[in-house]
Amino acid sequence: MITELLMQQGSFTVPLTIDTPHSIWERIGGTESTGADVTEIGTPGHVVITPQEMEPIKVGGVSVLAEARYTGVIKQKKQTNRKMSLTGVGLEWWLGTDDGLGDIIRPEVVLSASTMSNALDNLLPAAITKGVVTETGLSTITSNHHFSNPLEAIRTVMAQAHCEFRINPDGVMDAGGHRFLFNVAVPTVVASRDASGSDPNFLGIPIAKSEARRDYSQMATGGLVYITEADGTRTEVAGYIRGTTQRDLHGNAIVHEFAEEQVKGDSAANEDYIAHRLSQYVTNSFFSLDTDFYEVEGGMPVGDAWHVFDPPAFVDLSNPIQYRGDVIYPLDLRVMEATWPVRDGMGVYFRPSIGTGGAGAVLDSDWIDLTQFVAWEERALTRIILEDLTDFEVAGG
Amino acid sequence: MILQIGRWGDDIEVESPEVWQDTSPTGTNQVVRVTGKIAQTSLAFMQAVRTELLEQVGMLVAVTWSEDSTRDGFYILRGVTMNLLHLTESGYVSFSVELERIGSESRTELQSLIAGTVLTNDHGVDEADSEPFHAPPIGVVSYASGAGAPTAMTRTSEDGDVYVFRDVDFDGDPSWSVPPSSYYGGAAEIWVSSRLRTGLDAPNDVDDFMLNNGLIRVTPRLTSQVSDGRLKVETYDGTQWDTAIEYGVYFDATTVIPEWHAISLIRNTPEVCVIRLVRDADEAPPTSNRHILDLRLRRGSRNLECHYSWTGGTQDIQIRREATEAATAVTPTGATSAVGIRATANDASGNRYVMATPHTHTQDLVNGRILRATETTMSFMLGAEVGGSGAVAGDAAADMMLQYLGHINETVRAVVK
Repeated sequence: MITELLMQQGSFTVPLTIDTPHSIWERIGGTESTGADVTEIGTPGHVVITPQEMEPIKVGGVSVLAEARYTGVIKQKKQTNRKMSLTGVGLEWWLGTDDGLGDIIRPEVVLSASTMSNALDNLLPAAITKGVVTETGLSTITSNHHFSNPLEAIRTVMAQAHCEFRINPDGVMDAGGHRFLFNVAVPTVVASRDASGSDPNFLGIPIAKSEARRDYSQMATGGLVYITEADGTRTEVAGYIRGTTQRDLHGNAIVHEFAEEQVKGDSAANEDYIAHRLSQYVTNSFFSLDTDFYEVEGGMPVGDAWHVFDPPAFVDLSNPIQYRGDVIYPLDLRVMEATWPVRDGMGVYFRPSIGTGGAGAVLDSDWIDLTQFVAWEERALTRIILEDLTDFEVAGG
Repeated sequence: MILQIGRWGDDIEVESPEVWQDTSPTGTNQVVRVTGKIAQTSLAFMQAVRTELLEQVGMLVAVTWSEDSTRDGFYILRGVTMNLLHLTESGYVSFSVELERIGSESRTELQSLIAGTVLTNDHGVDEADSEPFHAPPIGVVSYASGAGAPTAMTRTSEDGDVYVFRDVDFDGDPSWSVPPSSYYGGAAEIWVSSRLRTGLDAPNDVDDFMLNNGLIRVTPRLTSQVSDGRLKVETYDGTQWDTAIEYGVYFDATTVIPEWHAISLIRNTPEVCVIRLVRDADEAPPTSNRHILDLRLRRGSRNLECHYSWTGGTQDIQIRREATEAATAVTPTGATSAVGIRATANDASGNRYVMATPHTHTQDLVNGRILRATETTMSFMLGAEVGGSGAVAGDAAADMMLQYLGHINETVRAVVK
């Protein structure tokens, strides 16, 4: 199963059949490493999944990556009762991890009223290359970054600029406002409990199981940003309080704020950051559905918006669409997470970290075709988790 | 002895069930398991019997049993097993069904979950101008509109009197009760190959289909026993079905769609049915595009709601009264332009045909046609004023158009009273 999340690592597990040759295990390398002085460390390579089978040695590894549906970083190979499996995470791993590991930024990067493109030029690790950056609607960026990993730095600049990113299976990052980066303006997918099916303008997703809920757990009444002075004292540099009419048990207005230490930045940038972070704390509509669809127009487009119609909870009367002989009033929700099975018909490949070319370059012949060894997940359903589209900022596109 | 499960069984004689088992697990609804055998005189009939029971799995069904009415009630059909034992001239089927009991008439209330608003239109008709309506089954009792103050009227269908509540509130969810034996009275129905269909599975029989709610019904016009693409729309005037009015969908305003290649059942519930007719663009040379015509019919409605789409480039789309008949434009109260047309004079049956569309359109009042220019889709309505110039309030052309524009999406749920 593959789990993709919007702007997060996600995960994957590719199970192999019991009759997979042992030589496959050996070729999916990685030398046992001990001590600090090792020359082979880290991931043995990547798993690449294509919608249909391709042959890297014939079409070239570059073409396979360009057509790939998913690329993941192998973090573990496992053998359980003689069955092998490969597990790992998405390419976002190359930006760094939440515990601070990554291609640490040094020397210091100082951004002053910077564009997103310039920011990425200075912050992206070599493992991820910059792709298309759409600056329309983005705020400029003013921030300093030193001795942090690119993940932390990129999250900061994305928040400041009201921007989102997507790392494609070929290791290229596109960035821009969510309306430019994803298909949110005109959804082409309809998920409906009843009467789902094809239509000239929409792909209908049949729902095997669904859950809808309103989540009130993400709540913040305000936030502030502080800096730590040289003498250790802390000074608030920007803050914002939302009005709320809700009360606690004793009738007091609810106070539920965040406080975050900020790297030196200007006041406007800090206020932008607070506003962006506060926008994450809203009453969310969550909708999860299970479907036996595993491929939507070439992929399960995490980040795109879907029309979701499931009365009475998920109805938007201001959003009529003609669908399969009826007019329905779906709520437009964004796909935030998709977990989908590896199905027969896909191509699955191992791309090693070190190849047989000069200086360890990976040649097309170094790829290993795992397709015939995959234990396909035919019975598994795809799970989609969606959020209310209106929860996302309009600013930035 | 008749065992009716949903829409299955009305025309089937069932030998007394071998087993009728009721169980009542703690904390859940009662479960009923019924097993028995059916023998029919023809294999085709038995195959249809098999299909139509299987198609209702998962549905809310009304169940009645002529031998023991104490078990009549509303159920969810959870599972069906049918063993067609003899694939010869006749069929002999052993069957078993599992039903989850919701309750009897006294325990069960039906609730219509409504979502709707005024259809997006070019005539300035807003939500307040439109006239959304709701019709429960024949024999309804304890009707509550949920919100607003709708006006009740009666339309006499071939099954009996249907109460139609005009100008219901879009935010209301009407609730009502009805005996299980009456649950399907006045329901929208889909017939394919001369058989009432209970689900979405049916033969691809474009020459023999019908959408019918007892007030209006549509069938394909046949030429030499083959569909010629036209629709025959008949109206029930309170005592009989009147002479059909025939319509054609014209591609590029001049070329009629001459036949349909496929029929699909999109939705099949007593409150609303939708079918889809598809024709490949059979041109010389052939293209990869298709014509699609969706037909939607609600319980209690005198309007056949239609939606045509063409997957190719824009073109002029015209809906024509096949036998030319002069028409008069109709601009309902609240509209800033004519929503459609109706026949200028009563026809031989005493009715006046009605055609309407939410789009900007041009009207041919000489022949009875409406045209939408340079588009790939067109929504429209076909119907008739019963009684023509003497139609009662609610059945006049202007009222029908406002009812069409007051779009309702309805789903019925069973809840405990």
